[in-house]
Amino acid sequence: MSIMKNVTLGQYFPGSSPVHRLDPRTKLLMAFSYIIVLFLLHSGAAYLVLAVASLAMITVSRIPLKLVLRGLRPIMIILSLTLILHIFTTHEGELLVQFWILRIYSGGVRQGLLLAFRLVLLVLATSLLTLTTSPIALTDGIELLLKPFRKLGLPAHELAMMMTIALRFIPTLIEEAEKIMKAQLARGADFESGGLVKRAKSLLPLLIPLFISAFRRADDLAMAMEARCYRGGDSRTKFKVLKLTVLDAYAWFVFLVVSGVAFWVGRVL
Amino acid sequence: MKINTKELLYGALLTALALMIPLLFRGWLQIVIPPFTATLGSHVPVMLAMFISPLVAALVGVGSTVGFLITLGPVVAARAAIHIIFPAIGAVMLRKGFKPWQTLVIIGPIHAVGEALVVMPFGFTAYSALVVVGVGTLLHHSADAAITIALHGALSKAGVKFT
Repeated sequence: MSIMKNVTLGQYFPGSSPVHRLDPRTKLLMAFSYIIVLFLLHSGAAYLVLAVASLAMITVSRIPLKLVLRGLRPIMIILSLTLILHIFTTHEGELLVQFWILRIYSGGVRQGLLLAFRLVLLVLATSLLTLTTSPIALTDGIELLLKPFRKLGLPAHELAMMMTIALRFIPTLIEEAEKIMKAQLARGADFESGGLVKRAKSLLPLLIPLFISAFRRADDLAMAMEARCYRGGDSRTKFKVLKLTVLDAYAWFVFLVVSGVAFWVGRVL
Repeated sequence: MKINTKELLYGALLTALALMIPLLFRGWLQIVIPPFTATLGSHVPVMLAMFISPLVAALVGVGSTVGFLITLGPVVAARAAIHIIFPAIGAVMLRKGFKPWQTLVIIGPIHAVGEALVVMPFGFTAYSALVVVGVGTLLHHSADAAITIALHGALSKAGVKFT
């Protein structure tokens, strides 16, 4: 049971393309706005405009298309079910095919294809965000975007710090889990057979040492941070300061033009 | 809302475990009843965070949502976003004196309905979302709640202080 080779962390694809060089705040806000635009549009022609724009962005980012399309793999079941459910349950429009009790209407096919298309575009855009932004840059961007909400009591710095530490410690904890798993297997533990209850019980010999070790690590790290006078987000400085550039303004201009065209096409066609 | 260094670190390590468990146990502890998929033990870190504080519970939920967005994409992240709400409610209940098993039983339906509702914008009918995803999540929640209670007892015996 080798677990390390099955685990992929993060999707970041290093590069120096204009998309990579955009400020993470721009990319986060743009992805959020894109999702809103996508949900406001209900036209195949408009989705086609967004698909062309997404493909152009992928080309500019110099990320292999195969890698971006890999992001669709986890949603293939949802995608197929969305399509099948709408094709067979929506009874609108012209009757296209009738087989036994199954009837396929033109409205069902249209609705199924539209929703599947929307889902694909949604995944492509968010995949592009995570493929072109490193996890650390992404957490820095989230921290800065959430900064205004500090006045409302939202701990933006703490959240970013937690994310950074979590991402740093995942490989260490995976290594630890692998060691514990091998030790328990050597003692005769069986993690794979039996029903839900048996499998839940079999997890305990693995989870108890793993969590104890994680909490001990947290205690040690807390002590080390406090010894170095860590006092949270106030008056902390950053080694790498995020700055908005002309490139970000240009990206927003392109985004607004593409969204405008998509809305226009959606209304006209 | 203030958070001390120890709570921050406990939250960070629980976030790491919340992100790691579904990746680690994918395949051999994964239950798939399309469109529902679940990995046994994946809720344990957010459920344990409830014993620290409501803020840490919510932050572990936010952390795992962002983490899943980075690692597995938007659909898994949308389902993980429900883990911001139910552990925070659970943590408040624990502070009000509810027993852990009572808390985990009460928040189960909130968790199930939340995950069912979040898949609906992806084109599921109310029936398939509520029955397949809702009931599936409730069963998954129950199994993970049992693991959490056993784990919490073992960790307390080992000297881990959550508050």
